[in-house]
Parts: sequence; structure tokens; C-alpha cells
Amino acid sequence: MRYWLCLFAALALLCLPAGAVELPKELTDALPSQAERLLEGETGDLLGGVSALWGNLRQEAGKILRSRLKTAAGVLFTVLLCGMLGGLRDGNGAVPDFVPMGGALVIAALTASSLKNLVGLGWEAMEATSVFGKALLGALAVSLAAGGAVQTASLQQVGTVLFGTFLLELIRRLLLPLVYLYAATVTAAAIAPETPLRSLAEAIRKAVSWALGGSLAAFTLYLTLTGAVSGAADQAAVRAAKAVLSGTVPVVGGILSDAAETLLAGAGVLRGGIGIFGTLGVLAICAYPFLHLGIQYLLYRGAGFLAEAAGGGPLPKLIGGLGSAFALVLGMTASCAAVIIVAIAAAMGAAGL
Amino acid sequence: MMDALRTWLYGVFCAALLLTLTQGLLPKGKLRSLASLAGGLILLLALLRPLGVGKDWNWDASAFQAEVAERQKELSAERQAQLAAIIAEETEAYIWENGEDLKSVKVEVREVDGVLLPWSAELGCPYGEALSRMLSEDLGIPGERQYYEGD
Amino acid sequence: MELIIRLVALAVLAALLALLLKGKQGELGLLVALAGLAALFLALAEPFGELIAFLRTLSEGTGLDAAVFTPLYKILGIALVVHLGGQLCRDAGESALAAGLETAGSVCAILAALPLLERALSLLGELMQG
Repeated sequence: MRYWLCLFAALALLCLPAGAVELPKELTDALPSQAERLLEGETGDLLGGVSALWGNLRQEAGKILRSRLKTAAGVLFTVLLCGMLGGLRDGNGAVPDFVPMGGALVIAALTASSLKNLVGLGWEAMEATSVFGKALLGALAVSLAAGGAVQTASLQQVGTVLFGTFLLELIRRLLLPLVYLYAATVTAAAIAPETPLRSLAEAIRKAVSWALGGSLAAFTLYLTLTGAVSGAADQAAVRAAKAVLSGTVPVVGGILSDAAETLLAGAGVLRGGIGIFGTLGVLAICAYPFLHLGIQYLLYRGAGFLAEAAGGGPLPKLIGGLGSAFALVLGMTASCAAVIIVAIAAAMGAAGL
Repeated sequence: MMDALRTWLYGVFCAALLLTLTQGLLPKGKLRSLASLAGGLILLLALLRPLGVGKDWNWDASAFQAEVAERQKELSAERQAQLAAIIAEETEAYIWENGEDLKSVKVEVREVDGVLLPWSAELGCPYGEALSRMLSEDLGIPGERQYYEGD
Repeated sequence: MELIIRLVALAVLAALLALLLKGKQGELGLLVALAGLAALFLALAEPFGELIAFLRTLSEGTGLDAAVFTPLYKILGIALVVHLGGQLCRDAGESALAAGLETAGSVCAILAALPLLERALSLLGELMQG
């Protein structure tokens, strides 16, 4: 709990304006142009940047909503049609009810291409976040090391890059295929409701959520532990260096400690600027996928509620399940962004030497 | 590990699908529940099949440590370079403040026993007793490392 | 599609014939029904074979031993046979015989499932020990 409080405090520090900080060129070059466009008008502090981002995004939100609405409307129409056809059937139950089966297949077909597109969008954002994150972490490490936290900087940078690569591989090789498997299983469960397929689908969904949550928790734990251990080592090194300085000639000692202070102050300001730019950059990269996936998920939830009201059967659960598939992809994109943001916050927190 | 997990999940999915089809073929009656039991047991067996853990769990910790050590060296070197530049600048500023008739000052900073210290000074003026004393007493630059105009 | 139409035609024909014969010679009616059933299943042999082949593919996909699925297929066979046999007995007016057949079917099915139950129990035992 305390760690999360420190994290939020560190992020709050980012809300202070950084002024006109000269950011490293490799970092500004690493930001994709689409993300740069979304950040136009940002004022150098986190809150200002977020509001500029939201302002630019709001203009796109309407367009995105309209494009996503088509699929959801098609799904809802299918449910209503099935409800109508089901009502026309005679209720003796001897002939298997093919209408919900047909409806499930139609809904799955409508959702399939959206899912593929949005998975592609999410994956692009995850890769872009990773590339941007690598440049960002390098710059953060340099500024952190300038303040004396050399061991912390190297452990955090190498650890975060390694974890980011692992998470990306986990998502690509296991979790994204599982999302498709989940969508297929949920469709199969709607076609054959009295089978264990529904539970299997739930199990897959839970497995993906736990994989993401567990990985992030493990990563946060790693940062906390390394921060504590290496932070102590770095503090000891700084104290030892100060002790050596006190044994030198007074004027030289004064110059040396002034130089260290100057470096620390400059690095602190730069780190703040990098932190803000990094956070905004990650948010800007993930903005479109978040919006698309989020809107699609909400529309499907809405369609599911309406379908439930229009007449039960297995179709509302199918719609809810397919909506969850979009939520899983959103979760994956958010996890990749969270890795970078947690690393930034850890670097901000480690600066208190 | 991930391939093993995918194979396992594929196996579970196949088992579930097989059960679904079999259930569809069964007529309603007492035997249906028995067949469900058998099917459930098969699904359980598929779920508990060993995952083949241990095949690609070998994550090389030594590679990670080597990378951290290398990055630490790089960051240390960069920090030292930045610090040395600032020390040189401040030392030169000090010499400018306290020197007379100086045309140029260039200070070299080196690491001595882990501490960055002003090592030598190149001065754009002729030798002066007071200046030389100031350099050696205040800045710790001995006479043999002070270079004057005309040397 | 053509197969199911043929089967429907066959079944309806056999039913009509059996109905015609029922009034005059009830036993022949039952025989005709039985013959119709046999013809139905003969016609279904190939599609059923394809289905079995697909089930075999699925069982290979699970990665489990093929012997694990034998009890399930046996139970399926017993259920189908018992169901049809029971209905024939009821058609002949022998509901007691039908009930007896169903009971026998349950017993045979449980016996068929025993190897699977033993396998599951031994796995549980292994897990609890290890």
C-alpha cells in the first residue's frame, strides 16, 4: 500500500511545471508522429499535457464512436431478429433451436473483423510504446545516474527493458492467441449452452487477466526491491564520496561539492522534464487504441444489456463475452503502458537521494 | 513454456469440443448423466495433463547481471565525464576571478583515487609567483603541472 | 442434404408399412420397423464413420491416451442401442422389458466407465501424494 502511495506522490511531482527543459534528441525523435500530433498545445506540465491530449482526442472521439456503432448496431439487430424468429417457432422442443445458433454465428462473423483490426491497433501501440520506452528509459537512467544513483539507474533500466520485452513476447505468443481462443470458445458456448465451454471461456479470460496482473505486480515488486537495495548502496557511495571530499583542499572541496550539486539540480530538472514527456508520450501513443477498444467494449456491453431486455437466450451472454475480448486487448495495451509509467514513477521516486 | 501452455490449452479445448459433440449424439435418458460424468473425467484428465514444465524455464540470470554491470559502468563513466566538465568550468571560473592579466585558462580534471580533481592548468599569461601559489594552495595543482605562456 | 431426405423417406415408408401391417399382423409390423431401423443405420454408416474420424482427430488433439476415450464411446454406443431397443420393446407393448433393458444398459455403461474412473482416481492419488 505504501508503495502505491509513494508512486502516486512521485507522479504528482510530475504535475509541477517543468518549464522549457531541453530534452535529448533521441527521445523526442522516438515519439511517433501521430502521438506528437495529439500532444500539440501541451504546456510542459503533466496536467496541461493531459488536457491538451484530451482536447485533441475529443475531436476524433465522435468519428470513432460512429464507426464502432455500426458493428454494435448489426449485433443488436441480429439479436432482435433472432428473438422475433424464435417467437414464431412452435414450442415443443423436439427440433433443436437453430435460430440462436445461427444468430451466434452471425454475431461472431460481425465481430471477427473488428476484433482483428482492434487487436492489430493495440499491438501496434504496444510495440510503439516499447520502442519509445527504450529511448525514454535510457535518458532517465542517465539523468538518474547524474544524481549519483548509478546502481539504481542501471538496475531499473535493464530490468524494465527486459520485463518490457518479456511482456511483449508473452502477449504476442500466448495472450493474443488466447483472446482469439476465448472469442471462439464464447461463440461455441452460445451454440451449445449445456456444455462446459462457458466455464472454459471464463477460465481463459481469468487466466489472461491473472497473467497480466501477476506480471505487473511482479515487475512493481522488482522495482521496489531493487530501488530499496540499490538506493541504499548508492546513498552509501554518495556519503563515502562526500567524506573523501572533506579531506581535500577547502577550495577544491567547495568546487567539487558545488559541481555535484549543479549536476544533481540539472539532472533533477531534466528528469522531471523527461518524466513528463515520457508519461505524455506513452499516453498519446496508447490514446487511439484505448479510445477504440474502450468504446467498442462499452458498446458491446450496452448491446448485451439491451439484448437481455429484448429476450434472453444465449446471445446476450455471447455479446458480453465478445465485449470482454475487447476489454482483454485493452488490458494488454494498458499493461504495456503501465510498465513504462511505473518505471518513470520509480525513477522519480529514486531521485530522493 | 509458452508453447507448452498453448499445447495444453489446445488439448483442453479439443476435449471440451469432443464432449460437446458426444453430448449432442446422446439420447435423453439415464445414461446421459453417466456419459456426462465420463466426459467430465476426460476433461479433468486433459486439464491435469503435465505441462512439461522445465523445458524452457532456463532464464539466464548471469546475462542479466552482466548487462546491469555493463550499464552501470557506462552510466558511471558518463556521470564522471559530466562532473569533470562542471569541475573544470568552476575551477577555470575561480582562476579567472583570482588571477590577473589572464588571456586564457584551461583546466584538465582527472580521477585520483576515485575523486575527480583539477590536475593541470594551462594559463595564457607569464609565470607569476602569487598565481602559482594560489593554484597550488587553493586548487592543489602543483607547480610542475602549471603551464604558462612561453613555457 | 440428400441423405437426410432419403432417410426421412425410408423412415416414413417403413412407418406406413408397419401401420398397415399392425392391424392385420402386428408381429410383421414390428419386423418391418426393425428392418427400417437397420436400413437407416446402414445408410448412416458412412457419415457416422466420418464423425468418428473427426472425434478421433479431436482426441489426438487433446494429447491424452486413445484408451481414455474408449469408455465414452462405449457409453455412447450403449445409450443409442438401449434407447432404440427400449423403444422397440415399448412399440411391441412390452414396457417391463424396456425398463429391464434400460437397467441393463445402465449397468453395462457403468462397467464400461470403470477404467476411466480408476484412471482418474489414480491421478488424484498421485497429486495428493506429490
